[in-house]
Amino acid sequence: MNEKEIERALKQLRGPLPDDDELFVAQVRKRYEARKLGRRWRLPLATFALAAAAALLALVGPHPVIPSLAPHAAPSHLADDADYLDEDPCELIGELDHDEVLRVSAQYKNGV
Amino acid sequence: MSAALKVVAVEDDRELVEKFRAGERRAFDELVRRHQGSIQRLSLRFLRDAEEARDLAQRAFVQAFERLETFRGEASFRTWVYRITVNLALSQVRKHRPTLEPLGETPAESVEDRADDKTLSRLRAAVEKLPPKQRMCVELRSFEDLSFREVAEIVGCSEDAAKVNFHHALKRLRELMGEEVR
Repeated sequence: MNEKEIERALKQLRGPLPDDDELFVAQVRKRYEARKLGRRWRLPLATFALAAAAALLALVGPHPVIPSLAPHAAPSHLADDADYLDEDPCELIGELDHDEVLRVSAQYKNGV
Repeated sequence: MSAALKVVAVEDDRELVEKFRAGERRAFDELVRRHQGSIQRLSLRFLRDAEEARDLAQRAFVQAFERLETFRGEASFRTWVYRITVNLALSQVRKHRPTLEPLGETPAESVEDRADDKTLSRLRAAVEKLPPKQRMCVELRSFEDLSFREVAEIVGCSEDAAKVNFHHALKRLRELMGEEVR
């Protein structure tokens, strides 16, 4: 066989083209559109997942910072007392006479 | 197909690609319809399984459309899809099988001066013995009627290298056919 004959014979080895197949076209379109839809949701989903992860880490992470337990914050059960700290405790006493002071003192078991 | 008709077909593909980019769904369908036959046949040659070949051909089209933004204007859509198909097929073959599968029995087209079945069978066996790049050049050139420029783009070499590979392949096939006769 010379090269021309080989080339002609090679063409006989190729298989026939499949028939036009509308189902094939529809399947390609469906796969393309499904992936396109997936890509459209990928960024918002990733953003949401990142935000959720950050929020979760802030709550249960290794060093959580809870406002009520922050180093310089007053303990929550003392919070109400803090409202009175501005008042001068001697102010009222100054307006009382000596007997009244003794009476109040006796009521508080000499604690004032 | 004459050269003039070929040019018209390429221009049509480019128009369809532009229309697809503009969001025209009909252009997408038409591009798939136009090339699905040859892409399925090419896939089948690598995988030898009709269902696998159909799946691979569909994936090749999907990837081609997804990557159309990077599609180079000087290449034809056909070459672009062929290249993606060959890459996917080689990747799949490498993953599951050590070498390219045999060509197997494929019904030949009826031509008047048809070589006899024995000769075709020997030729088929000889093609399988070619080095992968030479075999690819033979298949794309002879089975798909691609130009050397298109073969070069798909295989990833220069046009001259594609011609040399094809020439060496024919020479080797001739030797192999001669060896079997002796």
